[in-house]
Amino acid sequence: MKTMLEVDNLWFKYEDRYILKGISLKLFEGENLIILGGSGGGKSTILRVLLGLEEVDKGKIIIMGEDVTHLREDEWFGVRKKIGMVFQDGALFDFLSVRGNVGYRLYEQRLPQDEIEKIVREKLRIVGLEDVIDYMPSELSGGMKRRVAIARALVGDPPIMFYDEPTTGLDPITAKIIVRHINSLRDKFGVASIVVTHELNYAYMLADRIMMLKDGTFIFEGKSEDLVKCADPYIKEFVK
Amino acid sequence: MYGFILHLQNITLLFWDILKGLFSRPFYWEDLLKEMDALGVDSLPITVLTGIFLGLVLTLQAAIGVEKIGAVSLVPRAVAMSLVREIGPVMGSLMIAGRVGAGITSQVGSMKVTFQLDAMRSLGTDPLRKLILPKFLAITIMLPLLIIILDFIGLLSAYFMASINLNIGSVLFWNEVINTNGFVNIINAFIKSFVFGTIIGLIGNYYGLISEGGTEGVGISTTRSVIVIFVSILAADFVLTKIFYELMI
Ligand SMILES: Nc1ncnc2c1ncn2[C@@H]1O[C@H](COP(=O)(O)OP(=O)(O)O)[C@@H](O)[C@H]1O
Ligand SMILES: [Mg+2]
Repeated sequence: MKTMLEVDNLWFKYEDRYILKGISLKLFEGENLIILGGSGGGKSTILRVLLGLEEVDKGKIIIMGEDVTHLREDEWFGVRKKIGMVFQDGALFDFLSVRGNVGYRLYEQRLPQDEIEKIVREKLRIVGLEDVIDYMPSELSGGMKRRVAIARALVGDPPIMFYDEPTTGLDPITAKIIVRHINSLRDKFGVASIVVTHELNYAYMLADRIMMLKDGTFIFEGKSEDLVKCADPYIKEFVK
Repeated sequence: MYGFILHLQNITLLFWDILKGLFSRPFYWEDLLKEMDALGVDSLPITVLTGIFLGLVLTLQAAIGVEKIGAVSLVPRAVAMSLVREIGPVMGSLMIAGRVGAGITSQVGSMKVTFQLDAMRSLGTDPLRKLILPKFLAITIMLPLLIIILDFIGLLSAYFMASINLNIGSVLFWNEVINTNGFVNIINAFIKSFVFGTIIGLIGNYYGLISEGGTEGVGISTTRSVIVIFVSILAADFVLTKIFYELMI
């Protein structure tokens, strides 16, 4: 199995407080890796660090064979083309329409209008939202925003996707639609995803593998079935 | 005190990054033009209104001072000096700073706290070039132009007041305006407002970028931003006036 992303003994701190304390992980081609954990545990921070949005103290990040640990911001721009990031709540640009959001990368690359339109529609079709192409983000529901954010992240066909709490705050039906989209990207296109969440039931629906984060370190790695059987008191409490 | 020095240091660093961005690619021309329109052209109404009332008030104020000694003919000179060089640039910049500075901080700030700046980075564009720099440059370019317009409108309304209320003829008025070193005054106003524009662009963006903690946090930064901009403009005005005074211009 091809390793898409590898993290080795990674340390990260805000001011003087360590948030990530020597984490290691691997992401393989075509799998959904779930990072599970309570809020404030450092889940979002992991994704931010893996995107080069924050600088690490110690450790190593390798993305598709390239050591990216100490890249400069302009060098990161190349690496980030390989990763589609779906921020919590979507982080859509509120001054741009859905078309402008999804096509953002393409407008920046100055592609011809008709080509942009084609790709934008194609990505919106994947998340079933072609008909809102002219809407502004403020006119969309929470679930639609997430789906538009997924479509935006899919532009450029990145082999890796990151999702930060993709189902949080959504009703069960909408959340399941999101889960289905994430799974079908894996099944249809072989995308490798890291999904960060604290919602256990959706984690089970998504997971090929689960890692449990607590206070900046991983305390569990394995299949969903093994998580349930785990004897660790924190995990027991979490799965209950 | 420590906090103040830290802010000053960070603002200097931001200024340095902006300058580096100015002289390297990519440069976002379209965004610059858009911001010049939003921050500059859309500030015209407030500029014109400020000019009109400043002209009216300063003329009356000057008249109160000189009417008793029967030297009403000094009014144009007094108004031209104070309006064009000092009150116009300062009051105008403060008025525009209220609109533009608050606008920049709240816009950048809300993008920061909703992770739109991070999203921009994750999609391969540098917010400094795409967002910060165009806003900074737009107000730095547009403020001097707005202030020149304000000065001109102010003089027109001063003339209107002087002719109606004080019976000062147009030849006398405009001769006096020009004779008080009219051109140098305009240059003065231009330099001042250029500096004030830099202050608005820099501090407005800075407080946006350091916003934290949701919409509430953006509100707090916006208030701070406007206060710091106001005080900085007044301080810079003193420094510049002192420099011009020493240079006798
Ligand atoms: N910009 C920041 N400055 C300082 N501390 C931060 C910042 N962002 C997050 N933190 C802290 O880092 C810890 C982990 O945050 P986060 O990764 O967002 O957790 P999670 O996503 O698991 O809820 C939290 O304790 C949070 O307070
Ligand atoms: Mg989080």
